[in-house]
Formats: sequence, structure tokens, C-alpha cells
Amino acid sequence: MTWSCTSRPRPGRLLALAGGVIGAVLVAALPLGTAASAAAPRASLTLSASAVTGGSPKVDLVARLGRSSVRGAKLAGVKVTFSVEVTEFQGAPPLVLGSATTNASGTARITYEPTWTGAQHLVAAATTAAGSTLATGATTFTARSDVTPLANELQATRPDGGIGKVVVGTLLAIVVILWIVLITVFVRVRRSASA
Amino acid sequence: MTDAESSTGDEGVLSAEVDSRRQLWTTAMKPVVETPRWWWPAVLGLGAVVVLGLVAWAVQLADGLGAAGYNDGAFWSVYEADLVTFIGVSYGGAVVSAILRLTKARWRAPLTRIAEATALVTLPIGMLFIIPHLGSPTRVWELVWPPYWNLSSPILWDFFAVSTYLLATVVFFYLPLVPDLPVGAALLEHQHDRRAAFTRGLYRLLGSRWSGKAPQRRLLEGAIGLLAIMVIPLAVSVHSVLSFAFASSSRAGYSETIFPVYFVVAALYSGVALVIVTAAAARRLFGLKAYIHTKHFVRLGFILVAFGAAYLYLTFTEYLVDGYSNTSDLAAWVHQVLVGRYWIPFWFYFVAGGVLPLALMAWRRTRSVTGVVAGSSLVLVAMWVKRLVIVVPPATEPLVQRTLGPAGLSGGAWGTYHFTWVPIAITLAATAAIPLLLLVVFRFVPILPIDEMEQLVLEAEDVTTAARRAVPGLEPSNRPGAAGEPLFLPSTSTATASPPSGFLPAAPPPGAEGPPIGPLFNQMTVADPSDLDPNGPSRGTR
Repeated sequence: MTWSCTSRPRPGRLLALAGGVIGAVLVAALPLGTAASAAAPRASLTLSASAVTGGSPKVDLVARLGRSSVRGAKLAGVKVTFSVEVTEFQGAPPLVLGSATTNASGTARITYEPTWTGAQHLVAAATTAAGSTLATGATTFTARSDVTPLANELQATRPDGGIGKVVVGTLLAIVVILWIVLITVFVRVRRSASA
Repeated sequence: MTDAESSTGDEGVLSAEVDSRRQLWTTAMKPVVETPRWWWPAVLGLGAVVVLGLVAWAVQLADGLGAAGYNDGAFWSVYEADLVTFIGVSYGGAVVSAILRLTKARWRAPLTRIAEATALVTLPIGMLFIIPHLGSPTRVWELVWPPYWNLSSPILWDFFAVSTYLLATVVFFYLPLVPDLPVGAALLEHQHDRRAAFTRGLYRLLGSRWSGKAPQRRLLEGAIGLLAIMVIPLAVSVHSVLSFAFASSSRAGYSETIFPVYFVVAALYSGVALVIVTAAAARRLFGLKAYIHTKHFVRLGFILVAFGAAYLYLTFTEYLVDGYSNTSDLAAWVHQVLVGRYWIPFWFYFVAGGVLPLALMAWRRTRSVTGVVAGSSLVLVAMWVKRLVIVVPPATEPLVQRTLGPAGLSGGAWGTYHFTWVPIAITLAATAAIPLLLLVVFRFVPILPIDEMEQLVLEAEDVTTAARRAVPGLEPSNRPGAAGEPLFLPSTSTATASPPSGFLPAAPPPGAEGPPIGPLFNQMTVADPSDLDPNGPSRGTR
């Protein structure tokens, strides 16, 4: 298509031209990173979490890419990474739980076994093959977990637990004897050399 | 190494050019008495690096372990590797010295003080890494305080083992020093500055009235023998217990039954490397070339490659067995280390810390001081990297999403550790603290074990005398000046030793009994006053 001064522009084309100019100005005004990501096709992502019934507590995480907003981009074969936000380390990135690839309907799913009980802020991010983010979604889920450190009662019923106590006592006695020998050697030599 | 050097026997510890006791005293006490021009700039430079590390630690205290790059996907990293590395290098000094003492290897003499001092300074530095590793120092005391401690935790036993080993290292450093204290005190007698007064006071406190009489010597030799025996199992226990912190976990790559031996051999390997590098630096900076020869480095180099070969074998065994078992978590870990995201540091270790040092010692042309020191330097760096390879990959292997099922070999998303300036600065500070503390230690302590070297010459003399007796015409009585002949200097006139001008105390009058400082002090005779010049040539008759 060519533009000519003599041809009479249609209102629709003028509108599109104006929109393009405004869009270009807006993109140019944005920071570089944002402009780059704006070049990728935009999509919407919905994340849902639900408890898996039966067995140990697990959470089913399902991410759905929105068809209407992708416009031209493939829904299938998009990598979605699932994460949970943690507060253990200040400033630490979310803990990655795993990733899955969307199917033909734009759905990616993983099953996650929570390691602590309580509200968990879960995040899913769809990325292109080049690594740029297509869309992110988040949800909060109150998870239940039976993953615990070795329980005290289990330690108490551990077979041959009594042997461990004897070993500990013996090792402590050895440490004490070593300290006494070392200090005695030091004192005796020093006393001899100071006499 | 020349053929002549290689054929030198144990009796050649003190070569002809250094067969003067005075030169031995002068050289051993030189760092105590004199301040080289480079000393203060070196101390200030190293101190600045240490201060930078302290600043980094303060930043970490304010911002949390996240400032050091730690995160939920990489919960152990540099500090644990530093802890293992710095405690490990303290091995070389203590264990090598202990083994050489027990086997009565005479060539050890000029190296023992340097080796034991290296152990003495590196061990506390390594112990300190537990503080940044744990994060907040305000609760470290709960680790070892009985109401709070956990007797099932390897960390608590680390504390017991390392603190006992530290005490043994201090005593092991102190015992051979005792006979040198009176010599040092006498040499500092005419120094009137505050540091000399402080050093003399320190020597008095530590026992400068050593006379070398038979009961004292029996006690000392028995104590050193006992310590030499004790230090070896103590050192082995330290690194074994340190490895339990990994081995008693359930993570792939940590839970290894081979780890206690693996850690001990790694510690000996890097420890011997540090002794070599330290000895080379001391030799150059303090003018010890007359005492520490190429053959010392070559012999240490052979010990180094023995440990290096053993470590390579253990590495091969570990990955072979784990890879062969092919359980999902072990297979993922082996894959990531050998050809995955950690292949660069692993193969760096393999080449720089495994193959090259062996090659340098295998090739005759590189079997020199430079070659051995270069190989040892590579070992030090590569073994730190290897500790990172041990610590980081298992800590970043994902476990929580195991229910996702294996996706490829990894079974999920691996965590990532990114270096920040904080742990790098703290690691550099600890590295700089080693030479800094050694410079400080040798400002107060003779750098060579004077008495030990004299004793070894006496033993060598006994051997020579016995050999001469066995050969007709070479009996001691046939030698000129055999009766009361000195070991180090020709005997044409008899005069009790007088120190050379400069820093040694003035000579007592002829015939007067000298102070009882050392086994040979009172026997010493001189041929020519020029022999007393510490800078002049000193040629013996032996």
C-alpha cells in the first residue's frame, strides 16, 4: 500500500495513522526494558490453586493463558513457571516450584507438595522461547502440609536409640580427657621451663 | 633440582654455607629484631583487605544472608566452602609436621616452625566462618550452650572437635618453641625499645629459663612425641566430623559414606600446598634460602602429589558409584556437576587441582621451587573451587516439587546461587588474614626452630663420628681439635660465643660461663672474629 497526496484519505485510515503515531510515541517514551517487552505479544494468565484430595496434602496449580488477548500468539507450547513467594531470605526471588508447557487449550498444570502450612502467595509466569515474559498471574492459597522435621516422637521410638546415648557420653568423655591431657602437657612443660 | 641436591642425604639439612650457629640465630631472629621496609606496607595492605571483609560482614548483618546471595534455592554456599577450606589448610602444617617428627625425617627441621605457625593461624580463621555462615551472631552461643545445644547435630561436634584441635595446635606450636625462648631472650637483651621489652616479657611468661638439662629435655621430647601422636587422629576427627554435617543429611551429593575420608584427604592435600607456598614466601622474604632448599620443596611436592592422586581417585570413585546407582536425584546431581550447569568449576578443579600439579611434579624440568610453588598455588585455588562444587550443587537441587515427576534429569527447577561482593570480600579478607597473622607471629617468634636444628646437627655429628670410627684413620681422636671441637665453626681459639654487633648481646669475658641457652651455646668456639659477622661468609670445616 502507498500513500498519495492526491488521494483522499479515509477516516478509518487517519484514525489508524493517529493511533500508530501515538503508540510509537508512547513506546519510545517508555524505558528500554518495557519497550522490549511491549514488542512481545501480550496475553493474560489466570492462576488457580486447589487442594488435591487423598494422600498427603498437595496442591494442584493450573495456569490458563487467555485466548482473547493473545491475538496471534500460540496458546500451546508456552512454558509456564510456577513459584511461591518466600520470606526466609530478605530480597530473595520467589522459590521456583517447577514449570510446565501449555497444552492446546493454553493450560499448564503442576502438582506441588507444600512444605509448610499457611497462606502462600503463588505466582505463575508464561515466557516465550526467547525468555521474555508473556504474562503473569498470581493467587493466594492457604495450604496444609504434613512435611515436618523429624518428629520428636519418632526420635524417641528410633530403634537402638540407647546406643546413641552411650556413644554421645563416650565421645564427650574422650573430649574431656583430651583437654585434660593437652592442658597438663602445656602446664608441665611451662613449669619446667620456668623453674 | 640438581643431581647433587637430589643425592644429598638427611645430614645435608644444614649446608656448608650455613654451618655457623651464629648465622642460624641471626637468620631465625631476624624477623623479630629487624623491621624490613616492606613490613609495614604489607601489614597495612593486608589489614585494609581484612577491614573490607569486616565492612562486608556488617552489610550482611544489616541486610541478612540474602546480601551474600543465599536464597531458598541455594541455602549453603561460599561460607560453608570457606569453612571447610580454611580449616582444611590448617591440616598441612600440623599433620605434616607431626608425621615428619614421628618418622624422624631430619630434613623437616627448617620447615616445622613455618608449618606449625601456618596451622596455628589458619584454624581460627576457618572457625570464624561459622559466624557468617549461621547468619546472626547473636545466637551463636546457643549452639554450644548445654540448655540449647543439640547433641545429635554434627555442628556441635564440629565445635568440640575443632576447639580440641585448636588447643592441640597451640600446644604443638608452643612445645618446640620452648628451647628457643632463652636464645631469643638473650639476643633481645640489649634491645631497649618497647617491642623488645614486650617480647622478652612474653618469652619469660612462656618459659625462658630453659636450660636444656636432661630431665627438661626428656620431658619436652616426651611431650612433643605425645602431641605428634595426638595431633594426627585429632586432625582426622575434625574433618571427619566436618564432613558429617553433609554426610548425615539426606540430600543427593551430601549423603556420602566416602565423605570423611574424602574430606581428610582434601584437607591434607590443600594443607600441604599452603605449607609449600608459605615456606616459599618465607624463604624469599626472610632470606632463608640457605636453610630451605630445593629438595625441601621437591619432597613436599612428592607428598603433595601423593595426596593429589588419592583425592583424584576418591573423586572418581564418588561420581562413578553415584552415577552408576542412577537413582533420580543422584543421577540429576552427577549430570549437573559433570556436564550440566556446574561443569566449568568441576573440570577446572580436575585440570588445575588434579592433573596439572601431578604433571608439574612428574616432569623433571618443572620439579623445581617455581614448579612446586606454581602447582601448590593451583591446588589452593582449585580446591576452594572444588569445595564450592561439593557444597552448592546439592544445595540447589530441587526437592519440593518432586511430585512433578522427572522432567529430564533434573526433576524440576534447580536453584541458583549468584555471587555478590559480600562473600567475595569476606573470603578475600580471610585469605589476607593468613599472611597478616603470620607476619605478626614471626615478629615475636624465631622463624626457624633453633634448638631443633642444632639437635639434628648433633645427631648428624653422632652418625658421622660413628662412621668415622668404623673407618681406620678417621677416628675422632685423629681429627685436629677433636676434643671439644665445635660443630659449626673451626676451632683455633677458644672463646665463648659472643654475638655479632648489631642486635646480639655483648660477649661475656673469655672463660666466663655463658648463659645456659641451648645445647651448644657453651661449647661454641670461634676461629676468627670475622666469623661472627652475620653478613660475612661463614665457612665451616665440617
